[in-house]
This record gives sequence, C-alpha cells and structure tokens, in this order.
Amino acid sequence: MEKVREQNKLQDLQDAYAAWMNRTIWISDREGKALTKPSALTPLTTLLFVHDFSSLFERTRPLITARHHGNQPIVFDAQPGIKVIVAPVVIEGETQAFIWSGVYMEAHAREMITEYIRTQVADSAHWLEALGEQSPHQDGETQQDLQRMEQLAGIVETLVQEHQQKEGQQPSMQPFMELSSTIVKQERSTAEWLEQIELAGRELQFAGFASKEDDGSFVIRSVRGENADRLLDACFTIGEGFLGLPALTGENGYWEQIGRDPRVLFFTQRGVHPHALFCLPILRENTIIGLLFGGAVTSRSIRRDTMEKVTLLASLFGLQLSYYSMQKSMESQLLYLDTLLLITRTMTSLRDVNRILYILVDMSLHLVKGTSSCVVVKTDEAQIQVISRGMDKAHADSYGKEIAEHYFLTEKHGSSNDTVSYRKHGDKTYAEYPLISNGHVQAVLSVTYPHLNEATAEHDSFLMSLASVGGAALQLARETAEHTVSSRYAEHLHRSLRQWDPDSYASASEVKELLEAFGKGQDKPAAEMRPLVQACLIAAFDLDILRETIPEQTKVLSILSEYRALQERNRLRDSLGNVSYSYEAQLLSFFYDYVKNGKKLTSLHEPIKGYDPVLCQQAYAFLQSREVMDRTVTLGSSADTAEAEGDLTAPLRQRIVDMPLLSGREKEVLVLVVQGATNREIAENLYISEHTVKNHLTNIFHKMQVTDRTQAIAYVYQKALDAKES
Amino acid sequence: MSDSYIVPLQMECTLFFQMNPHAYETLDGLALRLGRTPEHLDQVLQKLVTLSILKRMGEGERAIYSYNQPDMIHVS
Repeated sequence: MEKVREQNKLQDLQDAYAAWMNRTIWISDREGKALTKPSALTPLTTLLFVHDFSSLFERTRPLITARHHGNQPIVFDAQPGIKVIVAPVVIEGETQAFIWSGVYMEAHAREMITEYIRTQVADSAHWLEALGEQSPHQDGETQQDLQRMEQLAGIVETLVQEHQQKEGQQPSMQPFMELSSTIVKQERSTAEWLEQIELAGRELQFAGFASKEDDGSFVIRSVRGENADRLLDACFTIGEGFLGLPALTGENGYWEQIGRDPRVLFFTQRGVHPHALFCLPILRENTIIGLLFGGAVTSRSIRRDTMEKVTLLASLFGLQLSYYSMQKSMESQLLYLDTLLLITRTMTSLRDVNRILYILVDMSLHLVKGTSSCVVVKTDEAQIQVISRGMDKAHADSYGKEIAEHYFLTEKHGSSNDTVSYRKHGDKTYAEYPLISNGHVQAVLSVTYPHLNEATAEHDSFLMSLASVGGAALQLARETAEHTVSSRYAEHLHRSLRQWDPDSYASASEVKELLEAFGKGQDKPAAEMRPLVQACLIAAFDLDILRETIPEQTKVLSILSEYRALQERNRLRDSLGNVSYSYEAQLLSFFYDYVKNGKKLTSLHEPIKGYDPVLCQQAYAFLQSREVMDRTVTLGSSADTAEAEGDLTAPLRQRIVDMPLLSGREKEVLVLVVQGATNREIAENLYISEHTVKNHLTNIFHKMQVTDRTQAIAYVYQKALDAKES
Repeated sequence: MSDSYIVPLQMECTLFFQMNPHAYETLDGLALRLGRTPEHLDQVLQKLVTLSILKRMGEGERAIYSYNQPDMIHVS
C-alpha cells in the first residue's frame, strides 16, 4: 500500500514536470525497466520510449552508466538529430534509476532527419509519420530542460530516500550493542571507528578524525575513503571553515549542497569534493577533544537514518576515548603513587639530612622537566644551606637569601602556609613548596618550569606531597640525631650522680621508672616521653650548668626550667598566681613530690595549685594502682614478684636504702643481688670487677650477719614485711 | 615509552644511585640490579645525564654511570 502511494507520488510529480516542460517524461530503473508510465507521449516518443526502447537502452547504456559526467543529466541522439535527455537518480552513491525526457529536434534539421530515416531506418513509414507530428524545440530549451531534469532528479532522490527510510525500518541496534559491550574489553583504533562510520550509510564516501592539539588548533590525524589521504595532517582552528564551526559551538554540524560554498575549498583543494558533510564534536568531561567528520561525494545529501547511526557511533567513540583516557590517567597516577611511596620509604629511613635533600632536589627536577630545582634549608638561626641543580652559585646565593627573608625570618608563615606559591627571581619564575614540621617552615623546595603554564594541578599535588614527606623526614632525621646526643648526655650525667649524690640518683631512677610506666599506661609515644625522661634523669643538676653544657637540648632545658619554677611555686604556693605549666613539667614535679615525700599518697590527695586537675587525677590514680600492686608483690612469692614487676619493688629498695650499716656502694650491690643478678652482671652494671663485687658481698654478709646471698635476700624481704605490718 | 612511565623509572633509577652514592654501573649492570630491560633504561639514563644527575664515563655499551651530587652552598 505504502509502495503504491509512493509510486503515485512519483507519477504525479512526473506528470507535473511533463506538463510544465511540455515533454514526454518517464522513469526507468537502472536496468531500463519502467518504474512509471510515460507522461505526455507523442507518436515519436512512443516509438523511442515504448516500442524501440530496449534497442535505445542497449545503445546508450555505456554512455549513461559512465560517471564521467557525475550526476549531471546528459543529452544524446536517440536517432541522428533526435535528442533525448537522461538524468541519473543517485541514491547512496549509486545510480538507482534514470529519468528520460524527449524529444529535442531542431527545426532546420528536420529535412536531414527525414532523409536519414527514409534511407537508413527499417520500417521508416512509422517513423516518418511520427516525425511529422513532432514539433521542433526552440533555441535554449535544451539547456533549460537540462536544469529542470536535474532538479527533478533531486526531488525524486529525496522521495525515494524518504521511502527507503520508512521501508528501511529502524536501524538495527545489534551492531551498536556489540560495539558498546566491547568498549571496555577492546580498545578500537580510530581507523576502526572510521570504518564503522563509513559502513553506517552507503552515501558516506569519506570520514576522518581531527584531534585537538595543545595550542587549541585541530589536526586531521586519521582518515578513510577514496582520495581522503590528502586530508591527513591538514590543520584548522576553532571557528574556521565547516569543521571549525562545531569546535566553536559544541553542536553537531550538517551541511548539504555545499559545492559552491567557499568553505568547501578546504576539501576540494585536497582532492575531496563533498556535496554533503557532517562534523560531530567528541567530548571528554564537557571538553572537546576532537572532531569526527565525514561526507558524501556522489550523493547530494546524507540520509537521516545514516546521520542517526553516525551520531550514535560518535557517542560510543567519545565514550571509548574517555574510558581509556581515564584508565591511562589512573594507571599513570598509580605509578606516581607507587613512586611516591618508594621515595617516602627511602626518605624516612634516612638519617642523613643531606641525602634527604638530594632526593627532594632530584625528584622534583624529574617531575617538572624543569631547568633547575633547589632546596633552601635553615641550618641554624644565622645560616641557610642551598642544595641545587641547574643554578649558578651567585643565583643560588641571592635566591637563598630571598627565601630565608620570606620564610625563615618572619613568623607569618605558619602551618597554614602549606600551599604552593610562585616567585619571580631574576628572569625565572619559581614554584615554591614549603616543608613544614611542628608548624614551622623548615625548608623550601623550589622548581622552575620551562614554561609556567606547564605547572599542573597534578604536579603541584605530587610536589606538595613530596614536600610534606620531606618535612617529616627532615624532622625525623634531626630528632634522631638530637635524641642520640641528648640521650648520651643525660645518661652520662645521671650515672655521675650515682657517685656523689646517691639519694638524688635513687630518686631520679624511681621517678624515671614512674614516668615511663605512666607514659606507657597513657599510650604516650616513647618519642614524646623521651625529653621528659631525660629531664628527670638530670633534674638534680644546676640549670645554668646544664644550659652551658647542653644548650641545644632546648626541650629538655625548657621542661627543667618550668619544673624548677613549679617546685619553687610549691614552696611559695600562696604568693604566685595561676601560672600555666607544661604537661611535662607538671608530671615531673608531681612524681618528684611523691618520691621526695616518702611516696605517701595522702600528700597528693588535695588538689595542688598550679597543676592541671585532670592530670593530677590521672597521676594519682596511677600511683594508687601501683601501691596496690606493690602490696601484692611484697606479700607474694619471689617468683610472682619477678613476674609481676620484673624489677625490685620500691619498698624492698627502700629497706635496703634504710640499712644504716651498709655503704652506698654496698647498698647498690645488694639491690642488684635481691634482683637476682649474678656477680658478673653486678660487675657489668656497676662498672667494677667481679673481684670487687665479691669483696662487697663479703662485707655485706658480714654486716648483715648472714652467710650467703640467699639469706641476704630473705633478710631484705623479712624487713620489708615487718615494716608493712607495723 | 610515554612520560608517565619514564618519569617514575627515572625516579627509581635516581633513588638507586642516591642510596648507593659510590656505585659505578654499566647499563646492563643497572638493568640487572633494577630488574628492568636495558632498552627501557637506556633512554632513562640518557635523560639523567642530560639533567646532570648522573655522570657518564666512556661511550657505548662500556659506558659507566655514577651519581653526580647536587651543588651545595652555605649562606650566612
């Protein structure tokens, strides 16, 4: 039914043109079979187009099927002097039908034509009769009719295409489903996508892809189709020509009848002559990254369903580009993350500050592919160190000073300044990444980019991470060095105390033990407790002497200074106001008070002015729990004691200290004996020979009136038990 | 190799020389130590020499690479 309706439309159109042109017109398929009934037949056109058409078609087939004339209608002699016009109907690049029109005969040639038919043509009577009834055409009519026939062919093409679209059903989704389902499994090349584009419609005779370059222009990187190779590497800018327009607007572009449009020169100069063209922007995250284009050379237009397929393919192509681009970006980021982890592990394992700085300088230079990089680091209050690559000495010197002035000599740069900033120095612009620890800028990592616009968020992010890790590694290396030195000093001073002030030595040892146990109970990191423990060991020394001896141990000295002030305040409790003391100084003072007051909890029961009530409560609860433990240990077996404490308990030690007959050294030996140490262990611990230990033990046994170390240990335990019961 | 692969390899290679500042390695020796192919490393080593991070002694397969310490100055 639909077909009949379409045929009627064609017939009506043909009739209308025949009446308008006053010619016989009809349409055959490409094999010469009639598709319509001829309109406005005359005797002569009946002979030509009906009775003798097969002969005419065979004679003219090579001429009309040749494509030398493109899609233009041609005029040729059906018989000498009797002309007809034939116009090809081209659908999807192929000639599907012919429109015939005739006849054209010049008036002055009638006599010659008559003579030719009479003498040369069989059955000439019919021809002569028909010729007699045929009117000759006027000058210029042939040219005019050629144009009309071309116009008619165009309309017929449109009608047939519309019909085929209706008949051609909806485009099958199957190929697209297959393409979309395999996008994540298989990365298709641009050439493969262009092949798919070309297959979307037979009228498409070329296709290509132009990618967006760094400078914003577009370059054709891939093409497909006859003669299309010459389009390769052609360049255009946004807004330029047909292809530049979708790049500007972001909208799909489609153009027909572009043969005379000057913009088509971009193609024709390169040997491609499109009649219709499309250009679709390919987007990634709302940014145009390329343009997919194609066109028809022999057809005057591109079918709507073809364009729908092309649009769908372009979307899938864009999807694939985005997917693989994101995948590559993720792989690249993971690779950088792996490298950052490797650098982090390396830097934090290093204790040599210079080697950490070398890593920072070299790694940053790699990343930015820059001309120079450097680290400016503050070594002390008056000196900085500049480690650099690609900078001459004078430049490094002046730049280092500028950095010191900006970052180290002013207090404005605190922890909030952990962002990149840019500075012009000389003829270069530096991107600066501060290394911050404990809220202060310790050093500044600085790089120059070959071009500042190459500084990307990705680079900044990596370099900021590098600077953060560098800051931490620097701090760690310095703390380790500081700790090594300060630990050595504190331990030496503490040991020397044992020689000339055993009481202070014993108190310091007890407070140290309390502090370490308290810190452990409160989950304080050992590094945090370290300065406090060191301060505890040397608390008996004069602060001025310590300041002269270990001036670099600022933290330890600060704790001791506050501790002294707090101890002073305890004596002048009422005259000093509510002064705030550090956590460490309070804790040190609290435990020293406890030990010096004979370890009586009652002395600490009342809140003490100057202490943090919460801290007091925690320390008090801690001491209470230890007192319970001490009692348990004292009354338990020796095995339990060792297991529970791992050390001599305070009451036992106190009993030994209280023994009036024993010398200080003998008391130290006895403490170790009760702890279960052998003679060799005692000798090593006290830095004396085994022979001296034996001498001390003989004296101890004699003074205690016991015969061996077992009895000596039992004696000490008995004394402790007696004291508890009393 | 794309930049995103070269730069991490450059860093890995530099770290090796920084952790072994007295190492003198040929291309093949370094490839063996880092578990990479000489083809991949060759490009990276040339880049490191260009950046003055490494020094090259000799030419061709027998060229030896070593770490070139950055410049250091103290400013008062």
